Amino acid sequence: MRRFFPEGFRYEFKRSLFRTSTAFIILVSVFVAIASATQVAANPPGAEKMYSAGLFYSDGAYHFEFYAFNQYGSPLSGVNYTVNVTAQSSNTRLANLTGETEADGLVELSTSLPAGAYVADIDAGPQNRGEYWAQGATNGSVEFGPLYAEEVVPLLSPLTAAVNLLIGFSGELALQVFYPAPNEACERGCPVFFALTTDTSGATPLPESSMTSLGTLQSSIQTFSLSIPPRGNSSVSNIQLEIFSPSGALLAMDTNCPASSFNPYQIPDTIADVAFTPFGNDLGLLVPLLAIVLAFAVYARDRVSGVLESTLVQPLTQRSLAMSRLLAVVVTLLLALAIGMILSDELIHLLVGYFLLPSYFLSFYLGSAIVIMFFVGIVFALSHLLRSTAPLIATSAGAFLWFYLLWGVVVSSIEVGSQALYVGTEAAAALQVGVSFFNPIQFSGLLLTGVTDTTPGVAAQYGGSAESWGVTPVALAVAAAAWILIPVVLLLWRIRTAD
Amino acid sequence: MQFPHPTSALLDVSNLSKTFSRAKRAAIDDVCLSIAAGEILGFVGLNGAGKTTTIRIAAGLSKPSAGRVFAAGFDIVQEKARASRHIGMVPEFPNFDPSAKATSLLRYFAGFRGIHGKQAADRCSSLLEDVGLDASGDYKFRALSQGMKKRLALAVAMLGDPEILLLDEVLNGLDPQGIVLVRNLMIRWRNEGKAILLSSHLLNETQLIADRVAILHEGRLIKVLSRSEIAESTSGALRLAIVDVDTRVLEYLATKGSIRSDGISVWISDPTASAEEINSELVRRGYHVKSLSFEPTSLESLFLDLIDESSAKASDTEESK
Repeated sequence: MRRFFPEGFRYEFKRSLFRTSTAFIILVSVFVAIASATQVAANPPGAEKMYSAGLFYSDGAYHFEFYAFNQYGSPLSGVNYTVNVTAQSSNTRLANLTGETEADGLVELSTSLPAGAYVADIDAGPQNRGEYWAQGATNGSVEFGPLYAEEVVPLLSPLTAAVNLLIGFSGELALQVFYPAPNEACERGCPVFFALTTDTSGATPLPESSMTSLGTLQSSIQTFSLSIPPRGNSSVSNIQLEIFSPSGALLAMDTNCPASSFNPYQIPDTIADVAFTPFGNDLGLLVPLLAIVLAFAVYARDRVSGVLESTLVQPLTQRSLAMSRLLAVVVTLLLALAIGMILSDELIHLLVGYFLLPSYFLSFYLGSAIVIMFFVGIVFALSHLLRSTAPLIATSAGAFLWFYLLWGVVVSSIEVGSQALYVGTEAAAALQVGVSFFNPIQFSGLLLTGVTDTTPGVAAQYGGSAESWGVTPVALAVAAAAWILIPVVLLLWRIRTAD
Repeated sequence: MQFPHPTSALLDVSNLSKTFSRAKRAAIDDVCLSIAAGEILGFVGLNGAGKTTTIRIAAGLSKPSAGRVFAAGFDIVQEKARASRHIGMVPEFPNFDPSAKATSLLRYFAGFRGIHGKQAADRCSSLLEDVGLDASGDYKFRALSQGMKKRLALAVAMLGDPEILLLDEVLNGLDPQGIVLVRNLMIRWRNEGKAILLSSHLLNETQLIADRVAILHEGRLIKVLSRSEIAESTSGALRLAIVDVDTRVLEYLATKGSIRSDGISVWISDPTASAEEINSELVRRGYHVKSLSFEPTSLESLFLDLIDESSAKASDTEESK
């Protein structure tokens, strides 16, 4: 141990660690943490978004039944629904139905009209607009007339809806079915089947035998756990859901539920909001900049100005001096980042009521550690390659700009230059995932993908596990080792070979 | 367990060469030096001769292309940390953190020598006093004058009480009081048994204090002279102040040795006759000799002669090729 960390190394490490700049970096991190938490609090992931499902049936009278729910599948009360019924032929208003959802999120609006062709203009919205962020269709128009018994027409949003059963920020995918079967058709339970399909028209009912059972509908609103690995089924765009009567007659069908919503490898939106807004934007930008600034202040400036030589006369080697300061800078930044992130997490919990997902916390921290080690190492190494301050600062800033700002241009250029790859294709997404291994700043995202076994962000629409996109533990370990070691090896090589 | 290199010299420089990358010729070539305990070695040479390069390699700041340096028996390249424990260095241009205070700098460097806490505080204030900076401890480095920076560098070099001191143009930038202070310090260190390598352009000062003088020219060590050898080599010239110096007297004096004259005085280097004999002959010939004295030749003259000789030899060798 003493061989690797001789006395001079330990002394210099401690001296470099307890500098004014350390306190400054920690203060900056705390400031950003507070700013990040405030941002999350301003648009908390827990804020309800309103979804609407509606249907229409006839049993002599005409019944419009609506269900308002939030993104977690919980019913919303007090949502106002209006249906204006006009005659199709004369355009004369015949009825104006209005009502609010109850605690169960349901409201039924009924009217008795003679047999004929009508148009219903539907408008749904919260009673106190602004309380909820409406998501999905909240108004529409439908033509209707006499229906046969048990026929149900979906209105507004589909009959089915994908919801996240959220516990904190972690999501469990589920399918919520809204079907208040008229005429007690499902009193004994209606079998629900689903199939993966490319057909969105809903014109082709499938036989039970070619579908997969989801369960039995026992109430008008029921939630079924459902996850579909779409990788390998990338042509599948939708879920076709069919509800049968106990006797086997088709009661209702819906093909408007996108299969991608049930990709278990996709991070729920709510988590992505939290994950990538404050940390990704603020700390993600700040971490490499702080690494460059601190590495310059602690080592590179002294190295370039020649001040370091006064220390090199002391009983320690140049390698010890460089490595002790490098380690001190890295430890300082990791400490500051940990303090900042923990503080931010606590503040978010205080303000919003949720803690960050541990997997996200870990991924972001480890990813940032890689970024820190890379940029610190690069500045240290550059100080042994460049002899004056201006080129050193310019090159360090250039490295940051290259990886942080110009990377998108680089990737696009590769895509455009590859005849076979076009932006928006699965091959282009695969290329983007592969290329992101060559950018340390994107390592947090890759780690998050690997740790949570989710689809990489750039390929979200195609689904699939992290491993199926090449984000394997070995690939992550090799990339991490490369980003840490390349600058350190360059630094040690320069120390060894320099005059 | 590592054992020091067996040598009687505290600083042993053997066959040291250095060629910088992209340089056409070697900065130093096959330099051999050794300094024993209680010895001051003057290190002289023209600008660019390779003095600073040699000192930087000896201090472990630069790597040799060939050859080795042992400090107290430890190889400065292979065992840098151990070797550096025995070395204190004052560079030609001391360069410390400009915003650090003198006391803080001293305390920082003291830590490398294992001196901490109160011991460090005491040691630092005592050293500042030794170099005459006791009233300037709170000054930032950037606020110090060139001479004060040199003094601070001296204090830093003395922190660990090292046996070897490498002083690169330490006298440059010092006021007369500072020169005397450093001279006295060097004498004290020599008496304490330290080995001192003193690089300087001030040859008279060097001659005054050095036990030996090594002359470096174009990267090569052309001569190492002991104090007695210097005394012998600078056996001197007979200076005669004569009224009405004419060609006849100069012709006569030229028969007694090599001469030079400024029209009033005549210097005879290495005279073949005694002063009394020459004086008698001049009186006999009717010349009035106002004064007669013996002036030793300065190290400066000797140095320039050696440099000329070395350059001539080098050009002869070049021509013969």
